[in-house]
Amino acid sequence: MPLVSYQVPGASARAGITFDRLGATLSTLTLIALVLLPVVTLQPNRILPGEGVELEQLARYPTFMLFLGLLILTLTGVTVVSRHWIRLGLATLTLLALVVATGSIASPLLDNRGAFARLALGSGFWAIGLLLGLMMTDAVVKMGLSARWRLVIVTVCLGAIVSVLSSGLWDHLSLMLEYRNQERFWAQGGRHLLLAFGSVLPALLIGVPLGIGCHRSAALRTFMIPLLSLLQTIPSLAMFGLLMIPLTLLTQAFPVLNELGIRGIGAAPAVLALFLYSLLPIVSNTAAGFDGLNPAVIDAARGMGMNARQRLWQVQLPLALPVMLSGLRIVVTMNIGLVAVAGLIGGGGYGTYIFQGLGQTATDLVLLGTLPTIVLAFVAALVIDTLIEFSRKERG
Amino acid sequence: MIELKQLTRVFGERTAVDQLNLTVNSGEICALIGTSGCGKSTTLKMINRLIEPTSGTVLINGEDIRDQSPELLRRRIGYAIQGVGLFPHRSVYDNIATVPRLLNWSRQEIDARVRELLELLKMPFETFAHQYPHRLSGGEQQRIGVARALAARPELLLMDEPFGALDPLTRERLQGELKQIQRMLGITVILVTHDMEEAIRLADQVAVMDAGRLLQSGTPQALLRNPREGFVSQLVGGEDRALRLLALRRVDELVQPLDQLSFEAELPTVSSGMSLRDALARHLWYGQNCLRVVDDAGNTLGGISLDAILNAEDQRP
Ligand SMILES: Nc1ncnc2c1ncn2[C@@H]1O[C@H](COP(=O)(O)OP(=O)(O)OP(=O)(O)O)[C@@H](O)[C@H]1O
Ligand SMILES: [Mg+2]
Repeated sequence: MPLVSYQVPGASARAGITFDRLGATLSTLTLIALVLLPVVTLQPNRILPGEGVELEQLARYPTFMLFLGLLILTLTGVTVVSRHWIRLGLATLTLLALVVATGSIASPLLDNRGAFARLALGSGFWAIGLLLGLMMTDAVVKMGLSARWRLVIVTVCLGAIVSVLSSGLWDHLSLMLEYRNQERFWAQGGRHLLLAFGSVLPALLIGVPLGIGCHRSAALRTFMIPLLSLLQTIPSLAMFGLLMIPLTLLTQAFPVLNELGIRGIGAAPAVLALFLYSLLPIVSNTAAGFDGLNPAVIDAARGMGMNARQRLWQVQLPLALPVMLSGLRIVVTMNIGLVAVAGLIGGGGYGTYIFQGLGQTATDLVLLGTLPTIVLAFVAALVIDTLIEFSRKERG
Repeated sequence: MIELKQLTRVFGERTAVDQLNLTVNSGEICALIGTSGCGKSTTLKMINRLIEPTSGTVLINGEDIRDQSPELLRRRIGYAIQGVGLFPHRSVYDNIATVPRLLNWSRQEIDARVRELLELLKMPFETFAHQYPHRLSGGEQQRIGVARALAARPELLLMDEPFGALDPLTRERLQGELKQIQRMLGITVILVTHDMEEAIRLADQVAVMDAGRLLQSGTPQALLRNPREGFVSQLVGGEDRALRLLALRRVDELVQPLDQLSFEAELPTVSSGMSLRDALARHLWYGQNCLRVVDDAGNTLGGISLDAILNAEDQRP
């Protein structure tokens, strides 16, 4: 990778000064995005495409100037300052300033533009937000923070953003208007997680024993792994379609299933499909985790007089757990994404907004589905990383 | 007493252990020695039923080991292996407590036993009990492996190359400790090793194996004096044999009154508990024909001459 930081010879003698190539690249991109892409756009109404607001016009507002000032400081910082916590602090502050600035300029910009006019977040906002996020990630990675601390930082950032949003600062932005229209936003979130984890739980109950079986029997492995890999290659929409047919036939044959809420369309085929997708990572990681155990440890456990069940629960499972959890991490992030696709067949969850928004060409509604999906996947991955860290504790 | 009778194990085409007969007396250390792949580990694992024999029997104090379930049998027999196999997710305390917990000992009993064992192995409880294995040195891990094997007061301890991966100094120290502990507890030990020095230093009985068969077994002295032609002679060494024999005997066997010896005023000393081999080395080092022998308290017991050592083994070829 060419994007690595290095110390300018001689410069390293002066404390804290460096030249960071990755930082310089990200800074350049940020400046380009700031100049070329609109931070916010004005829309005549909900559906019609908006027009970018010029940078000069934005620069009239003091909050935006504050953001610009912080941004310049950050871009300089990530390029020349070698202390990673300074870079992290600057980028985080700037991101917050961006959120605050875009919110506070909404009502003055919308003055005298009619009841249907909206101020939407433009491509510039998302690009700069993403680049600031990359700067934060880079700093966090180079600080070598443990997952626990990363989780704390992310929680603090999300908390700050949520409190800005709930303070009403963004109420005039179209995204929040869209949010106000959706009474079931949080319920959809619950449903999204329910669908994602509702398929993970049975996959664990079946996948872990199957994985242990694959570890013990080469015959089972040579049969199971290719089969599950094949399932994995079926595209998600095709899978939903494939499952709808037998489920429909089944519910026609047994109407009692209908009363249990199982239908050819909706949540049932979605959960079933996600369950099938979940099997491969869980089975293969369980098998890999058990394969990787030190034979001397297993030999010792047997030699101590542990029976098969005691060996499994007291030795093999705890030692294989980190590898198994990294399989779970794959499954959970994958499922949170796939549940969004299940919105198309009426499964519910944030995917519903995405497909409604696509149908109505309402970008903000699409975003209202996409953003929380990304946040959920991101946080879930971090939570599992933290669990992995705990399960590895003291093990060296 | 442990008796292996006509013990045989076949893996597919391969006979790993071939009609092995061996008796180990209670309270003794028996070393199984031989080249790699000769069936030592297989023999050992048939004693705690990690491997079931194809034919033959193992008796412990006259009792057939098949009369008991493998798990119950193994909880009665200590087992320490090369690579140690400590549980990496458990502290030193919990590792040692493994078998007592399987046997449902009470909390107080377990606590007392762990303290006792750590003390026995000269590892302070406060420093080590709550460490995790990866923080320990190789020698410390091996000690904990031995402590774990001894936890439930087994009468029999099986050890598979327990000191194989250690540096020579640490190995020698642990061998010394093992012998001391074994004598103190009066347990029976069957130990697998590659290393003739280790077998001679530790064992009361050495059993030499080759290609699954027992070639010869006996005390270290007997083996060194009268090795069978071929593999056993090769293993016990040619010229080294004399030195190895000397290593088995102590200075106090050859002490003479000082006035019988021609000596100079200030003789270098040897202690009475030293091996004759080490005493010989001191004679050579100081260039003396005679050294003064002292006991642990420093009292002079007499002298030992170079000639006496050179004539100590009349079996030289
Ligand atoms: N589970 C097994 N399946 C098949 N063959 C085996 C098995 N265990 C041991 N063997 C074979 O039996 C023979 C004896 O093995 P064993 O492990 O007893 O040797 P060893 O004397 O302990 O050797 P080393 O000093 O290298 O540990 C070897 O040829 C080995 O390949
Ligand atoms: Mg072996």
